[in-house]
Amino acid sequence: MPRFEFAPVRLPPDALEARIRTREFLKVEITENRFVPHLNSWSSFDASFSARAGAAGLIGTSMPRAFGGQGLSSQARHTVAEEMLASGAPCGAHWVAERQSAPQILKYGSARAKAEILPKVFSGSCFFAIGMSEPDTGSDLSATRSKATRIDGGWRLNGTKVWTSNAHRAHFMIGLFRSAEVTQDRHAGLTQFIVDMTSAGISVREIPDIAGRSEFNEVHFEDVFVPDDMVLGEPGQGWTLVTSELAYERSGPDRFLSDFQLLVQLVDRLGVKPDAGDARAIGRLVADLVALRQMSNSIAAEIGTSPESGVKAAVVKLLGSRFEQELPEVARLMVQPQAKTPDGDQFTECLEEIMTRAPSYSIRGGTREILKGIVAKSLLA
Amino acid sequence: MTGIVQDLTGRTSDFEAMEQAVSRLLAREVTPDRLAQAESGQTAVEIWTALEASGLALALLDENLGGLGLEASAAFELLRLTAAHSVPVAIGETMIATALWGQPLDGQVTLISDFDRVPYGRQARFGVMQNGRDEIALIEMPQTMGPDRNLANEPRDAFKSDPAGHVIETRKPTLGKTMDVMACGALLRSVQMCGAMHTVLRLSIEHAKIRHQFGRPIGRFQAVQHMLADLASEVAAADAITGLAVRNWNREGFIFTAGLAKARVGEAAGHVAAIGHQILAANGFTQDHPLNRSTRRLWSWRDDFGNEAIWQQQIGRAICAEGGGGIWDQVLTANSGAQE
Repeated sequence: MPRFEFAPVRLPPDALEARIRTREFLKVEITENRFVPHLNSWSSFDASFSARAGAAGLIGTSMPRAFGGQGLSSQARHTVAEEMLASGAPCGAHWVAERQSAPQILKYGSARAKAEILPKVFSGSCFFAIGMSEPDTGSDLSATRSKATRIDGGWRLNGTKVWTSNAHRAHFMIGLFRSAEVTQDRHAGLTQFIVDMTSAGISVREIPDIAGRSEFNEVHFEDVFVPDDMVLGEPGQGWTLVTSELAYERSGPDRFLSDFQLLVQLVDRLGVKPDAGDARAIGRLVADLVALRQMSNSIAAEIGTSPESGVKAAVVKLLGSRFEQELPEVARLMVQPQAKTPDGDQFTECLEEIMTRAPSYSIRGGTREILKGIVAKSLLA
Repeated sequence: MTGIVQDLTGRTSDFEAMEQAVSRLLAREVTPDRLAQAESGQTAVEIWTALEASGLALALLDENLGGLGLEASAAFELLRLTAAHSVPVAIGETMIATALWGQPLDGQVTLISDFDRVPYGRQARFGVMQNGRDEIALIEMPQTMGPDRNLANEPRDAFKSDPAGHVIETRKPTLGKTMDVMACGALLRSVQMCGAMHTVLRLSIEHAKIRHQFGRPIGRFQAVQHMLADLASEVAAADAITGLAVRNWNREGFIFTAGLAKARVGEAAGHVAAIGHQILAANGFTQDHPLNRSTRRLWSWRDDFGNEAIWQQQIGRAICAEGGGGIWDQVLTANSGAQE
């Protein structure tokens, strides 16, 4: 039997129907020039796009209708997400909220958290940041130092989170804090909180990334109050919870479609009759892509339900990020420089954007090395 | 000897039992001695006889044509097992040729694509060949062929005269016209390479657990762990895309998905062979160890029925013809298989 089985799956009717609706929405967006496909991806922040997508019922596809989601299958969600990414839609504002924060709150949040926050996420008007990394805490999440101290009616947070994408424009953050002293068990004593980013005591400093983009931040907490019902799960359960949230983070088509628009630009640039070498390069990339999509679709149906799904998600992320990083390196050698026109050169603009994003594909959501360790541990068990 | 496969199709589709029976047959019949004999040029008669008796060659042929009518996924899964055991006979070629021709045939039957390198050419009684877009031909294999072999010492023999002179009969393929012989061969080798890669993975994991150096199993070293992760990931991708092509058996998307599989699996095969040898190091580099039976097959099989470059070129041309805006839909069509 295969070691990791990625069984072929049929897309259920609600996924096929969701694809049609998403395409209809995107067609209008593109016709009306509301976004620029070759310059955007799932990291591009556009609050008004998110609001329109929410109004069109395209956020929270597999979330319960009771909270404003569409109550469809997880495969329908995967389908909406991949159509968005393939088209270069700027999903960045709501991406984290939809992909992981909302499912996390649904699973572990209090009644009030669910009732108040989820509908706003699904309307595309409530954005989240991920509070995991700290200056001294990257891959080793159990080394979390930011502290949560129990007080009357809630908790007091102190410390610093870093690499926090969009913290400067998020409404909430799900943050991992140390709520009890470190003991022999490094995974004990951690708690996840839903933090209101408008709370007193929070200060956000923008950290420009290598291309000068304004996405990363350092978030400082000084005696920030969080009420009891904004704890996720139980105090001390943080390790289990953060593992669950990371599974959501590693689960979607963004693990192999981050730079799909570059492939579109490349093929357009090569024209309809490429030479043999160029055709081979494209064929190789597409074979890789089809295999990735097959694997991604396969596990979309089982996210969270099978004990192996975390390891399989890691496999897809490993192969996916390798594909995403190879694409600009292959593409750049296949295209002749074009004389600059007043309208710019879409291929080159796209390539430059991707080139300065590519290193992050094998870092965010778990470094390549950590993921390989997860896969190996499973093989050697 | 009653057919194992035949026996079990009579019951409920008890695939697991069928799979176990075939595994036992292979473990029993494919011995190191017989493999060595086959590599020295002898026909592996006992292995062929056992497989023929199991009924496996009839797996893909419709029941009302005298076959077993297994689902393609089941038939190819059993075939993958034979490749994991390095069977030195043309069981896969026979299974496919039988389905294409539409009736049971005697003895080993090969698939002819490259006239200079016919798999098991000198052992096979018959061969099936493409004869134009809509037609296939049944060839009576000549008494003598120019003998040659691949790196796994499997026969890859050359026709000494035009095969057209050996045609017994031509017909429309029993399966649809999308079932072109070269694409069928490409799928066959993809399935077989998956089998061989699983053996490499299994041997590598075992070795990482039991080989001790510096006072611990080498699987404790991060470098080895990462290599295993890379190996397993390639195998997973190969399995996924081969499964997709198998699902397209006898459907409109077959040639395209078979080509995608062959391109991706061929590439995976090179990585897997290299990583397997690196993990098994000196031990794996000798005839004392079984690893080479699988890696020599991986190096050879990826060259049959179109290497990666050939299929990549075909895929790339098809993709570019539809422009950048058409890529996504072509990918969806490839993945959806028999969705409609």
